[in-house]
Amino acid sequence: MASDGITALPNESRVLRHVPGGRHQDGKVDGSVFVPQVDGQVFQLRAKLSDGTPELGLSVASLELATGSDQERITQVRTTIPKTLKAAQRFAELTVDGAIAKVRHHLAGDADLEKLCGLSLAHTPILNEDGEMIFALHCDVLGLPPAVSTYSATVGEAISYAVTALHPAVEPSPEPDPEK
Amino acid sequence: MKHNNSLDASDYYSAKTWLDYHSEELESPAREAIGWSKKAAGQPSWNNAGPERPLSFIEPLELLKLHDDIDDSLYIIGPEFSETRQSSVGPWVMVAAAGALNALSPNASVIYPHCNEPIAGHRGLPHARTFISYSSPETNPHVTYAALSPRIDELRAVALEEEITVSETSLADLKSLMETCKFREVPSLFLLDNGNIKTAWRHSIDRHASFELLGNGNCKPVILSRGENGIGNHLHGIASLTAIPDLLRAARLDQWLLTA
Repeated sequence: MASDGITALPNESRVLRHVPGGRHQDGKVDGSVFVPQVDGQVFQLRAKLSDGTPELGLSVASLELATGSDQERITQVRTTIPKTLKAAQRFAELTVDGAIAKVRHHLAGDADLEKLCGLSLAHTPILNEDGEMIFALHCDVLGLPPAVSTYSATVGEAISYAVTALHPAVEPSPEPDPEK
Repeated sequence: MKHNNSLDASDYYSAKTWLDYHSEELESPAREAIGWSKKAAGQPSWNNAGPERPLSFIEPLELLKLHDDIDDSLYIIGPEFSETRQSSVGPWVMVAAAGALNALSPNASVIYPHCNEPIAGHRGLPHARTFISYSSPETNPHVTYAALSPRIDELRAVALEEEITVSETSLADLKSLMETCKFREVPSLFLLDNGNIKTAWRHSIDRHASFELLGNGNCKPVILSRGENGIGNHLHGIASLTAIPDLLRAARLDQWLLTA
């Protein structure tokens, strides 16, 4: 659970998860994309538990916190995410509710995993050390087993089936006007 | 694959009647049929609707699922009757549980025994339902390492762009895997941040097999399947590449993925 000062978002909120170029093919996303990894500086700025230790979350960007049409929201994610984006990369769209449904669909009945299905979404904007906003749309999906967990790969693969759309990470170039 | 979509419940009873009538003569020939229909050695039953499910347990609903892309659809494979229906072209008849139609290899056959009218001494089915023609298991192709070259080249280009070093030992494991296991379908290939290659057959959340190739003859499998009792099964950990066929059999995914 997120600590004080962290805003919880509804699990039905749409989020985008960055997908490296080698981890999607023909519309399918590899499950490793949905395994939380420690990510250096960003990790330090994330949601903190009440004792001050950072809680490991899965970095996503909230479409609901952006504004405008769906395409405009995706563009806001592209232009504000503190990452160098490449043409081969993608953004996978999903909801936490969808992820929970997939995990529960497959892992129901496994007592150890039932307790891992308490996923939640927290708004955790990234600030720099001076408190300046770096990435306002950043959120964390909390409650996932970390990479070192025995179950992380299985849960990640289950969540990969919750992806509802894949969007190019780089804004597609407009088609050239044939008359020009 | 083309198939006839208009099945109804009467087809089940017709098929069951036909199969009951011919069961004794079918056992041996059935073993020679499509590889994914065969059971483990020593098990005499030709009925392969799941590892231990006899024909009587097959529900009409499963037959009705034949035309939908749903897991655990039921296929009836049967002989092609000649025009005069005096003799069958091939002896292969069995009931086999299989994945959705798009999970079958292009040459897999679903032949529904057809016989419009019963003739003396030859009982058949009252409805004509012909799917696609049978091809022998020897001609069923399997995926080769060479077929993966375009995707491997693509991943090498991505690796350059994203400053990842492709693990050549992981690629060597991939080659070894393709040479030792005869897979029906081309897998998805992913490049992980550690440079390892991951093969994945992703049909659905209940029919998923992926293997991170560690480059030392071992892999990290994740297999998601659903048991006969309807409960989801999952497998993870570390395994030898040589164990993959057994892992798939244990998860009842071998018929979907392996040609033999």
